[in-house]
Amino acid sequence: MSNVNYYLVTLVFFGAVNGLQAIGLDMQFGQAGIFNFAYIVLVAVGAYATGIASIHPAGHSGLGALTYIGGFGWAFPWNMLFGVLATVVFAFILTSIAFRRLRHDYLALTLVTIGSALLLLITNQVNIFNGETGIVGVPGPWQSQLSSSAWYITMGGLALFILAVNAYIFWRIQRAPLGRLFKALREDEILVASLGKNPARVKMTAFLLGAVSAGLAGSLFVLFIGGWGVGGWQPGETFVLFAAVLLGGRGRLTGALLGAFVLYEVFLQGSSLLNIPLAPGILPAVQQLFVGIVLLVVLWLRPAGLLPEHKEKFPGAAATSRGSKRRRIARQPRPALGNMNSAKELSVE
Amino acid sequence: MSSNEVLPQGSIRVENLSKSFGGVSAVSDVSLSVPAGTFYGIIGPNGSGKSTLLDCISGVHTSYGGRVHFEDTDISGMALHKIASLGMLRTFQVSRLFENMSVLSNVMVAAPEQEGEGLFSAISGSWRKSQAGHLTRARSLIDHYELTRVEEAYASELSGGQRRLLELARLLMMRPRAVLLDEPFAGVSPVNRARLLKQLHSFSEAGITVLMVEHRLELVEELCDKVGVMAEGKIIAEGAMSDLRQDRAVLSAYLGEFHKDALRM
Repeated sequence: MSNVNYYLVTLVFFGAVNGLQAIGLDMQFGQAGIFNFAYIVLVAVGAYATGIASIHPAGHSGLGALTYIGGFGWAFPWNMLFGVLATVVFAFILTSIAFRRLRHDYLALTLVTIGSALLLLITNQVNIFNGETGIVGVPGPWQSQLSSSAWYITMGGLALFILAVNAYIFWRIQRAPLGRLFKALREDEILVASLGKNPARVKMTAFLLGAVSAGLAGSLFVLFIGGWGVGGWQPGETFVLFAAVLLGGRGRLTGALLGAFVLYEVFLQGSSLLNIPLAPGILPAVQQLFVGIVLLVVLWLRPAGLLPEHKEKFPGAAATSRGSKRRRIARQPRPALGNMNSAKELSVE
Repeated sequence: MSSNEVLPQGSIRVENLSKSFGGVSAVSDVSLSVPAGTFYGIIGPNGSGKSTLLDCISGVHTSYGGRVHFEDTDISGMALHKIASLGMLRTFQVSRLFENMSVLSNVMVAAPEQEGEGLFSAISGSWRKSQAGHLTRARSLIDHYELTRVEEAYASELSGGQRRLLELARLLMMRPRAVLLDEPFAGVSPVNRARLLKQLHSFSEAGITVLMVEHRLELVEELCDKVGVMAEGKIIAEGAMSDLRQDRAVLSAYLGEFHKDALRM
């Protein structure tokens, strides 16, 4: 396989993994309105957990002086299952701490803080996940049996397959009454409660579903790259994901997928292919700047994203309805940060 | 909607309810009883604790003194969603709708014990079978409230009166036995007021117990079997509206000494 083909397969792999992260964040933020500014932490949990499930115990790994917990030496798919399960358990603990009485804006701040605190902890406490360097030497599934090119193609296919299954399940959920409840929760939590639905249950369901995608994405990352360190889950990563979801269209599965594709593959990868006469170290910074500008332009010109959210369709719509096409375009859903006006919802306990 | 769907139950009993915010007493020692199927009105000047009382009964506030019973159940301190699922619902002073959802979706959200709200039934798609029944009911309620024309419009596109009607349609979707209405006529034009009044009358005819906070005395008089007057967190008088008009304490609390004529509109 030529270098170009390796590159293309790698693009497919990362495209699928970024798509997974985008639909997971869309489930939490786009559908249910949870401002999870610590999404990348969930991805990291999936990656680390899969990593320590795959490699052998510290000292027996033939990797020198790495220090980490676990080391089960499990093969695929058990290492991936462990990674996803660990992410869901972690997300569950996070929700039971952070969701108590916290509304949108406070929850967002709490999650940012928890994310930063964990990053510092993992960086400095080297005996958990080997500190800043992180975990290395994670074997990919069937890597030893396959030729290099066959393994690359297998991983690309595996990532696409997992993305397809995950997206299909999310699509079914979002069209069901549960999906309607997610959107209702995003609009007004107290109102959802006043209709006899438990908002905490709905919110946790959306959060854990998003965590499953994060766990799968993290797991795929570590199995493909072979390692995972703190460089992979800096807070900025979450904001690029938010940008992708907003760009594509929050609250719509295909929007999140399109946003991830446009932002990561077209803008970020595309710009690195251009022959820009800049010092190589500057390119990432220029790219970040570019992401910010793209996001601003989208929020300005198309606040609901490239593929705006659908209005729910019901069979046998009334023929006399006034919801004509023109009106629907004229009135896109409220822009991204609409849920921040939650002062009216503050209750005194 | 046919009235025999709702059973004549839904009594509300409040005993010695007190609520204070950081030492400031909002409601103090309020007791009242709303027998099943009756219409009870609460009037009183701004800041007299009417909305706080409703918030405590409905479970928006869960820490307060005293006890609240709904039918035979002690619901003191129970959360809003639990009380709502028992069959006692509320509306809010400022109308609350899911603004970025269609009128029909707003009503469909409220379908009680809807299949497909759980994770597994949502994925399996087993909810589709029961959806048709909910949809028929939602459309008939929307029709009853004369909202069919705007069924697919976003809730944010409705007028003040239509918003109130949609709130009631959503309420009835859940087959309540008791409802708490917080100023249901706020923001409703005079034309729509008559429509809304007619609809609220039909609540009584359907046997639904109603506890309503309202400012406009002529509406309270027309709708309510019994009226409680609140001032400074207490119920200072209770009775038929026609009797309360003569009550000196009520007059001075509600309008000040010099405006008693205003009560005889």
